[in-house]
Amino acid sequence: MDIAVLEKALEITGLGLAGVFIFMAIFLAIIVGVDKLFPYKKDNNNK
Amino acid sequence: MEFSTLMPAIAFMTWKHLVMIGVGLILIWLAIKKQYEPTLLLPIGFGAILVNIPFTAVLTQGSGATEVVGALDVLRDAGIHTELFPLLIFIAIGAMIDFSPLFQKPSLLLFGAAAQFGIFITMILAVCCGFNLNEAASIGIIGAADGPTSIIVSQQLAPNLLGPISVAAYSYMSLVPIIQPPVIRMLTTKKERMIRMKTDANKKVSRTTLILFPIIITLLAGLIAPSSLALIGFLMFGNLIRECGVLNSMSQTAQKELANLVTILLGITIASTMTAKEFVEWHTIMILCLGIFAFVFDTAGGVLFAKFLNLFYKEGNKINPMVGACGISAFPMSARVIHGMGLKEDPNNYLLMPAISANVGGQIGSVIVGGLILMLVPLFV
Repeated sequence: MDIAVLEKALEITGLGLAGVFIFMAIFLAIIVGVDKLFPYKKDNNNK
Repeated sequence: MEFSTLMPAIAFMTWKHLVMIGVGLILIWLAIKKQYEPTLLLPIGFGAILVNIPFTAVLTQGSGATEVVGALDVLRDAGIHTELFPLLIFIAIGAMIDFSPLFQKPSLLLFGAAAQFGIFITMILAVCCGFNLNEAASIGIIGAADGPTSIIVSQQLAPNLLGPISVAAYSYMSLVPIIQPPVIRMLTTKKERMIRMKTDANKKVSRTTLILFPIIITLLAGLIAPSSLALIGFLMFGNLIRECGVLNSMSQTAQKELANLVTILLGITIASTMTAKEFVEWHTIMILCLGIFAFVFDTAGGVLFAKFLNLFYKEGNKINPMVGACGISAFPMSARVIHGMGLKEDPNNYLLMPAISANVGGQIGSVIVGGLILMLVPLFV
């Protein structure tokens, strides 16, 4: 086992997990925001 | 005339070829008898038989002037090396996904992030097992429970491991009902498994919202991580076809004909990597074991994240930790499994809607994490 590679793997893990949570948090904000901006109205254009 | 000249396929058959033909037969048996992902396991299983008969015409034989090009090599060059097949599958998947459950309880989207935990833990373990960083990241992505993402990541980072990684990714997706329940039971109490969740099942979403969602996500993902754009862009393109409301025929085609056609080609082309020479190796067994490890820790990541969030929620608003396990990409299998487990604990506890929401989050999460790995790993190699 190469310790230098392991250190890189740990760093990628930290960045990767943080990255995916940040992405999802942004998506969450978008979902809430878009839903508030364009709420469902009962007409022919909506599902 | 010598026997090897008369019957070269029989004369040059080795035990490794026989093992791989056996693997092919097992995959066909799983597909037909157990109905585990038959659309993929059957073509992969049959392809494994095709490519493991010595001097098979489906693979390129000879070299130079005597070279005879095999059909599966042509398909592999055209569809896998260019990533065309998995990306076309993403259009089909995008056309199949209804994102509206996410709008009913958007916070469940976060489980799509938490349940990617196993990918990274497996990457670390693979490094400890002696794989290099590119190979380890490709092995970890098996835990995404997302076949096309696994193919794209391994094709770019570790094409030498494409065969075992693709087979593991697709085979384990079908084993979700076997892998997830024991892990969930181990990490939760009966009381936790009986938690009822409030969801606004009648909440409706405007058409404008559903149309804007794929466009905004594509723009955002592209601006933050351009390397993830092929994955997310094709998925969201398929979803836009579905939601725009003016391409219903095209949406149906993407969901059915495109999905079926590309799946046939993808399955049998993946099998072209399952030759005895490349597949019957110790590293294949290690990859298969690490793949299970990734699934187990993805499930654990989702469940433990739900338990963590429950520390901050008041009684009555708590999340059933089983729903956390749906943050993987295996849709809708994982949601169905959790719904079934919920009913087993309490026949009046319907977890399907929150489970579907978390599962849709898992589909987005797996694509995001695939893009992040493609962006991050080359920076460290």
